[in-house]
Amino acid sequence: MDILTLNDYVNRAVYGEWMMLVFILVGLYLSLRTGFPQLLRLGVALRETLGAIRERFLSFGGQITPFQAAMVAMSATIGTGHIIGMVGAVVLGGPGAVLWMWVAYLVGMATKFSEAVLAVHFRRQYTDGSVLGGPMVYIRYGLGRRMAWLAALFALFTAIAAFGIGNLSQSGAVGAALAQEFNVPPAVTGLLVALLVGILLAGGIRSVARFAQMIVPLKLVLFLLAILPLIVIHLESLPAALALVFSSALSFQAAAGGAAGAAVSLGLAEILKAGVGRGIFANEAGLGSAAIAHAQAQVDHPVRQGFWGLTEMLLSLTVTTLMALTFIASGLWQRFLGGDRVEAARALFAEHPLGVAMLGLMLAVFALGTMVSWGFYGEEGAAYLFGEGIRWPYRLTFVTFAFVGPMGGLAALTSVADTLNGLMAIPNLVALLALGGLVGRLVREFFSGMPWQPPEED
Amino acid sequence: MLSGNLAEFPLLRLLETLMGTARGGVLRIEHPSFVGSIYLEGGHPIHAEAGGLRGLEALELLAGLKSAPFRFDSEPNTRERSIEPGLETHQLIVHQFEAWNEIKLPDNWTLTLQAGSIQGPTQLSPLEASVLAQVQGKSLAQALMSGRLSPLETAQVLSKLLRMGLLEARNHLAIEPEPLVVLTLYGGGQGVAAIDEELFVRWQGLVGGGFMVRLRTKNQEATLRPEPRINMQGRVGLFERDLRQLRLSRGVSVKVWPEAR
Repeated sequence: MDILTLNDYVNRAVYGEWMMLVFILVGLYLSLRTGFPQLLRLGVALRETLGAIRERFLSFGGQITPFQAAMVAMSATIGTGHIIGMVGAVVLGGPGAVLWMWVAYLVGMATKFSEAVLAVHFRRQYTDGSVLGGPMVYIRYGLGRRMAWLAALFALFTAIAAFGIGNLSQSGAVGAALAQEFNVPPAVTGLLVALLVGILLAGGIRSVARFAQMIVPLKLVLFLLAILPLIVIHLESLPAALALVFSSALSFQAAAGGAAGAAVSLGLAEILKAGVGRGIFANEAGLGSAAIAHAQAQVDHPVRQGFWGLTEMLLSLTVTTLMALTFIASGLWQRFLGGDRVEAARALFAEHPLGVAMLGLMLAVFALGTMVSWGFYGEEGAAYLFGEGIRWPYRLTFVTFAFVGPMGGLAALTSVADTLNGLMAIPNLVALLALGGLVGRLVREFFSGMPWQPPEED
Repeated sequence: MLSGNLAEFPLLRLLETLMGTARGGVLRIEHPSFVGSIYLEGGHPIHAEAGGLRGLEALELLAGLKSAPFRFDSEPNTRERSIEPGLETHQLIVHQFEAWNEIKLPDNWTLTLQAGSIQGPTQLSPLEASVLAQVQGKSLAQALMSGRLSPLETAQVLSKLLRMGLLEARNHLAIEPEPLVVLTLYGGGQGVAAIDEELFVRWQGLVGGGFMVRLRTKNQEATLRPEPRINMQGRVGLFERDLRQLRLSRGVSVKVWPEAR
């Protein structure tokens, strides 16, 4: 068995049904241990995050504010998967996939909440004010010295995966969007992207955070500009689209439809897989990546940062839902059922007053934001493994890949990195299972007004 | 216009000079804690104000000042009469000054009065016990102006309490109110202000022992028990019940400073 065959095998496993089931079960377990914060503490979460937005630049004394940490995480999360990936989920699983995506999001909220709580609780702070945190740190210090290998494994997966999902895929998406819609040569895109990413990563977390707090609102504004005209166009069909989400959640049959124009029949397994898959992988809950950003926030209690995790999921859910409902309301999903998701998205945005260029611009900005945050994640993973000295070599390598990405190629590396991205979930989910009780205790303490006691450093 | 400082030109001598020249006008004394005014007609005091006090009580308070800038303007601008001019009043004023000279109080009336280090049972009259209970956390000037007793009587009791070590006068001018942003604490707690542990230690050092924190909002003030917490820089954590009572919400900026317990 060669390396690529092995990679395909592992890739199918880490993104397969069984793994999805594990994600859901861990999310349910964490929901139980933490008292369903996504339902019972949603009001507090919104008050603590969006309600306190005027405090966005007010730190608790750390390098970046809790808001900025959430923006770094959100910049990575809200990416092209929210647009193309969401259209893809409907194309694969029909409108019913959206309902299962909601279910996965609901469960995943507790997962992301727990990741943020643990990231702050176990993070290491150095005398210069810098912070190292994320799943590798909570695995190492939460599960103990004997599980250091698992922490190292997570860090390794993150450091390499960042070159795929966080670099080649994203710079490739920027390059393709700009070449297709604006005729920008890939080499020029590569150079500009590499320059921008290089400058931002060189500035460390402060620079990445400043960029994130600017690009996330820009992403949301661009998304609204892109989606609102389409919603207005299909406003009348929206109630029917919503009804279809529920009516076709268990099975779906179309006499004639799909890309081939033949009869289409979707079973529960296919609908579930498409919906749950999107609900898990679009928001990165369970992968542990966002925890690396949340760990950077200086805050009086880890649970307070956890609420940013919940809000992050809520915003992500809003974007994917609006995207999916608009696509269903357009009726285009029937034509593209089982077909090409990129073509489906292009067909939808062809109806936009600014045309497909709007999609191209949005995808380019989404991908750029994701790339910078993932560059930081990868660097943190590498720094955990090899120490501070690795930061500059890692940044330079990352920038080189950013330049190459738009020009294509390196498919094998992208594929391996994609598998490693999926593999990140395994050490993280193990840690979340083992530390779920601790998260529950921290939540109870927070709501009893008790101060946070950071763990003793060993 | 005549101006100077009471440290160089004591008030009694100043009044006698003005009396000797039969001057009319207003003598303004600007203490950091209050402004005092003595109105004169033909060299005799006819009205006095200091802080919230009037008449002879105001004059009594001003008589105790050892240092404060003053200014005399020879334009009387009041019709108020709170002091009867005459020889008897003059003798009373002289007596006030003599009485102040026998009292040992710090010259700096901006100092804050706090519980002293003396512990255990002490014999105090009900009056002294009542003064002791009322003045803690106040500046000397506030204590002299706000008691049920006259300033001189209060000063005599304070002098005794300070001598006994039941009270201490500490310099609190260095403690500037800290502007802090309100953060919500959840749970059933009440009467607590969670502040950054570094700020807690700093204030503890300045106050010299146990302290409470005073919190000022736009409309009101409250005294709360401080609780040190990590990573609270620039924030003050208040429980939901206190937030409701103080009509505050998260993100609002308030002024907070320590007060001796």
